[in-house]
Amino acid sequence: MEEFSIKTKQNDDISILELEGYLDAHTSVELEKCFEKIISEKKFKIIVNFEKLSYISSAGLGVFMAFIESARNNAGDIKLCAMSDKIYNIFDMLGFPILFEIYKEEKTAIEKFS
Amino acid sequence: MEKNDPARKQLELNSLIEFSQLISSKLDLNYILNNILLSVMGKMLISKGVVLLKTEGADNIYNIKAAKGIDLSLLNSFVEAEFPKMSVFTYDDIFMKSVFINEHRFEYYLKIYFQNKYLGILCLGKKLNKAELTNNEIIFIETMLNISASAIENTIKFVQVSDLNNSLSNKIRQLNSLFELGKEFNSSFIDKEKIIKLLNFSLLGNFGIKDFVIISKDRNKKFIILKDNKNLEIESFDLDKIFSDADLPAELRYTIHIKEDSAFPFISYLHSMGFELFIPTIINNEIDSIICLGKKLSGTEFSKEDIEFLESIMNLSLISLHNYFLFQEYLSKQKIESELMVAREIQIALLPDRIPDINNYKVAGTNIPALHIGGDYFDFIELTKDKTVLVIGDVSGKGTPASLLMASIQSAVHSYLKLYDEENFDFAKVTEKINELIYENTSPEKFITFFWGILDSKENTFEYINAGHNPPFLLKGNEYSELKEGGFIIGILDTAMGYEIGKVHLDKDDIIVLYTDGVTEAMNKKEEEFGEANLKKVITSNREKNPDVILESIKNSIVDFTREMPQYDDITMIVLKKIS
Repeated sequence: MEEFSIKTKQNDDISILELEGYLDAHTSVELEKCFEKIISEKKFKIIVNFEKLSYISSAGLGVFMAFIESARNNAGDIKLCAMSDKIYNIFDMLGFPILFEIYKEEKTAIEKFS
Repeated sequence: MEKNDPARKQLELNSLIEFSQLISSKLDLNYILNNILLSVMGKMLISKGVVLLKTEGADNIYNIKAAKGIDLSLLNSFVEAEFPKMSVFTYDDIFMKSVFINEHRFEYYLKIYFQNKYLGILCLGKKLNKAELTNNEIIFIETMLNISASAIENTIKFVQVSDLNNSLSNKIRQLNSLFELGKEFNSSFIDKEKIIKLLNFSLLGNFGIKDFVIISKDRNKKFIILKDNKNLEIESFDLDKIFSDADLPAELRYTIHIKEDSAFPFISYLHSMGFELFIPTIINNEIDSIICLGKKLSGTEFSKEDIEFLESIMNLSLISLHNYFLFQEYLSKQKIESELMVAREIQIALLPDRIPDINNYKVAGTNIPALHIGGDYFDFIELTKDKTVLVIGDVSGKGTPASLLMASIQSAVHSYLKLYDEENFDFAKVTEKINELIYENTSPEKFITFFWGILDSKENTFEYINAGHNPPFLLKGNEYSELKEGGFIIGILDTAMGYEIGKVHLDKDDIIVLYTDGVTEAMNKKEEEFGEANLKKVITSNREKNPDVILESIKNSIVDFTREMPQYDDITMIVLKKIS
């Protein structure tokens, strides 16, 4: 089984999650917990960095769906960035670009929050 | 919106395959349901959803087993909802909208079936882009649910079986620990401390119960605290009165959860000390012991199974405690027994080992000790060729102390007689000396009834001093007389009054019988004493016989008289007869 890991860092009031490895139904539990923790700490501005993510399944996508409303209802958002083409294609195929802001660079995503 | 290109088909198939592999690989309901939700939500751009599972045996009651995008504290709670008969429907199709449905306004509802069994329902919110779910999308979700149904059913069954398994292995563990305890408790050298320690360990090990108190009846039927690590103050409660009451309230006869507002102040007090469970043990319709237990480490309530198990442990421990007390009693009896053995050995050692040969006379003596050694004493001492001393005495008390006192008088008698010289021997004076000696060396409640006489076989006289002893009989012709001359019992008074010497002359066939009160006070079942009359009757009817035969006849009559009654006191006799 491929590894999955999340690194979190804080940039002022923005929480940045760096995903690495293989995000499927199995590993999505970890991401879900991570989101739950951030939301429970009342941090609603979230950026997810996909630079090191090699695979995402629909269950993985479901996690973003499950938290997007609570972020937006509290004057925050979940912005996505630094996806490889392969990952972007999946998001694109399912129509995510209409619902989520997706940026090439983390820097841009941070700027969009301010 | 829908893109029908091959890459998308590929993704759909991939996710279905991945999904089916994942959910079949785990027997974890939460995992399976979470995956259904996340996969559907991720694919369909839906931001909230729940899976409701039907509650067995209750229509329209559902358990929220998985939830995303809503308040997660609702997880595992039960909700009421009535759904239409269709397998797929929308919010508007629901005729009776329950509170839960109204509040969350899920848009899409898809029932989950395993074969034809209705398992539950997947409720989904609207798509985030406000678009409707297409037919293809609904079919895709239905396919996912069909794939999941068998996994859900298996998991539910698995949970039921493993619950059953857990409760079975719990029972097995409990039985094992009861078995172990039983073995420990029945080992022979267990003492009170060890029983309580074992109980402590098994309460800790099985339930994490730290605090407990054992209140038990002692041998005097008073309630005492056997073990208490909370320092209860029970003095202010009259436990004997509460629990020994014949009209003991029914509530206190069974295990109860200790409540603050109990009608019994004692129970309320236990509550204030942090106790939760009150377990009484009833023996012969009376409370024998009570064990009160503190909280479980887990903080959970005591279940019915817990209580059954605890009651078994308690019974086991209490039986062991009772056995322990019985064993203690047995040990102290053993101790008395061995003390009696010592007493008996002393007594036997002090009794004369041979019957003296006296010209023209025959003599016989016997001592039959009772179970609790009475401290009788008899002796023959040959002073000269013609003079023989006969001694009989009865020492007060029983057991070893009596034997020791008997030993003192025996040694006093022997010491004084060793110095015997015919010219200067003062019979009364020596008796006084013996009295002084015993008086000085014993406490006043110890005394000896004592009789001794000197037979002069040449002069055929019998000089005697009776110090408070049952007067021996002298049978002369057909007349009985009693040998009463003497003085006070040995060991009670300082010799102020002195002793008188009695003297009788003996002719052929005269018989003297010396005896202790064990003879005349031997009792039958009707609590009648053997008495002097019976004694005289036996002597008279055997007067032609030799002393040993007379003695044997008296013994037999006593046995005939008392029958199965136990012998309470030592029986001691000396029979002297002038045969020529």
